[in-house]
Amino acid sequence: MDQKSLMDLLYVAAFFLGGLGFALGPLILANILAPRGTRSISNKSKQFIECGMEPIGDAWIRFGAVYYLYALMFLAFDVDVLFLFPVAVAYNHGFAAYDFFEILLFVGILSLAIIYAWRKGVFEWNRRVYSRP
Amino acid sequence: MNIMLFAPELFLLLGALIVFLLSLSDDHNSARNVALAAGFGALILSASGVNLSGMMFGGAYSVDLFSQLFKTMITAGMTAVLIFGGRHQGIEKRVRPEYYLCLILSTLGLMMLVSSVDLVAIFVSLELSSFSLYLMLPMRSTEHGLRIQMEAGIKYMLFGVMATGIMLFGMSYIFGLTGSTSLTAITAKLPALIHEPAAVVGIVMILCVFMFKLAIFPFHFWVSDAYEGGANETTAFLATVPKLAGVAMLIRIVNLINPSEAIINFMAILAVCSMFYGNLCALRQTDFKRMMGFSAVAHAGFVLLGILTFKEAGYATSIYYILGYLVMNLACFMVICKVSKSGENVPIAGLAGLYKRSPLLAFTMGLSMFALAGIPPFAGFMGEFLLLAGAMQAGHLTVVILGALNAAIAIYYYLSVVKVTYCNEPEVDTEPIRVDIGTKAVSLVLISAIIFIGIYPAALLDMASTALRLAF
Repeated sequence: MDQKSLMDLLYVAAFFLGGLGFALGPLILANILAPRGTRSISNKSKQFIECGMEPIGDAWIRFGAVYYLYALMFLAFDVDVLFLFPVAVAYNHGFAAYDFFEILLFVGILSLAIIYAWRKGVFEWNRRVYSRP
Repeated sequence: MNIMLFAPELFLLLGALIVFLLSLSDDHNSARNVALAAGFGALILSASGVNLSGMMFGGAYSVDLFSQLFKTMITAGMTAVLIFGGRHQGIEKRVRPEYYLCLILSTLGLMMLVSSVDLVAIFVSLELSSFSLYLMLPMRSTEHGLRIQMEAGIKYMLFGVMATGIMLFGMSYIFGLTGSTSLTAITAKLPALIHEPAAVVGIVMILCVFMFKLAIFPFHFWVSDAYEGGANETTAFLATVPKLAGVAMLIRIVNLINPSEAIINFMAILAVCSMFYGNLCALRQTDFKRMMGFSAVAHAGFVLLGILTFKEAGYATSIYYILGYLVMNLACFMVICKVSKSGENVPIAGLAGLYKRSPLLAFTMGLSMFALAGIPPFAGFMGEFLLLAGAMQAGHLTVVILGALNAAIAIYYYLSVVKVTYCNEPEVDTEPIRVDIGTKAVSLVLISAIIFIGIYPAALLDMASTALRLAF
């Protein structure tokens, strides 16, 4: 095996070890740094595990799913704004009617999604009642 | 830029926009008519523009005989599905306009896919068609307490997203090796790189997603559940039209590389596994759509036989075969849509006595089953024969023997459907089935197509060869 491919292999091995370190490191660190035994000492071994907070009540409640469609709409437009940034930069170099029309078409078609959601009552803040068979 | 090059797609887009506006109102009936008009218009436009050629969108979109041929078949398939779907009783009433919207957009995505000659364009159009299909599956009516469509929908989506992810990974390899996303640039650079393992792995990973569309062996897990869970009309679309684009794209991608022993062996193994798996599983099915799902796996294996020859004649046979498959499958799913009274699944036993209830439907079913089983002189026989002969000439004797064996296994389950249709007496339903005029017309067209494709393959094969020569 010549020098170059040996070096390549070494690089691969180094990156592999680095990746492994990133995966295992937090586990080892947590193992070293974590306060030990608190849950069982304070008789909480059956308590739900939250992010260090004292849990309030039971986790088995019904969550209102009203918000998720609203969140989906937001997410869609959040991503769309990303496409508008390059356009904003390009506008610095003078106004082009053709490009303006194109971006108008793009945003226009996207806003149809809002009209659809509006029409189907996504923005009405009602608690939806589902009848279960 | 010649607007006529893009006319079929633009027409479908216009139709989609109108259907969208209709979905805002409560008018549920006109959406179907608009979708039908869009389908017909796009069919006429792509059939009349079959000889157009040109490049669009900065070399990412190629219009040539190859793509136009597939576009004509795709729009024809969509229109046929819309006609015999009738009022689409299997679909939840509330979302029917959205269903038509998804159907149009999915067709549009497939049409754009067969024209795409750029990795990014391929990805975008593939996702357009796939996402619409993911949505169409769970839109089945829940009226009869059916819940399997949800399972089918989520399975199809998860497998599909997985396959797309694998394809993107493969594309990143190919882009990294060649420095371009354009297929023409890749074709120029890839042959020199084909002995790099990364290039082989990259191409195989891109092929995965189209093998998923065709349900070739290790990517077939979704197929039986998705077919069974989807409404009859959805399955009729899912089982036919995306397969066309799958074959077109397999040919496009495979054409990027010179044949190497590794890829040929890989495809041969997948072909044989698909045939055996599909046919052996189909033997035991009682639900018609589920059986057709496994039969699709087996047929996909046959299509792969043409592609693994890496020759123009082999590709042309694959195109010919998939066209025959489209017609045969449309015919039998049409019968299922009509036999099902309010959109429920039809067990094979439910076809009993169909020859009394509707002679035309029974004949269509019988003919398409004979054709799928590969009995001369129908489309299926000629396709299978040509594929096996082509693979034989390319020297894949073992694969050909195993393929012929599979053609024999398949006869059993196809012909037992014919037996039930013609020889068994009906048990529950005896009243005749009313067939509307549009469906009658479609069934006559399909019957004559099955016979014509079978007895006169030369015209289509020549056309496919010309298309391939012009495109590549």
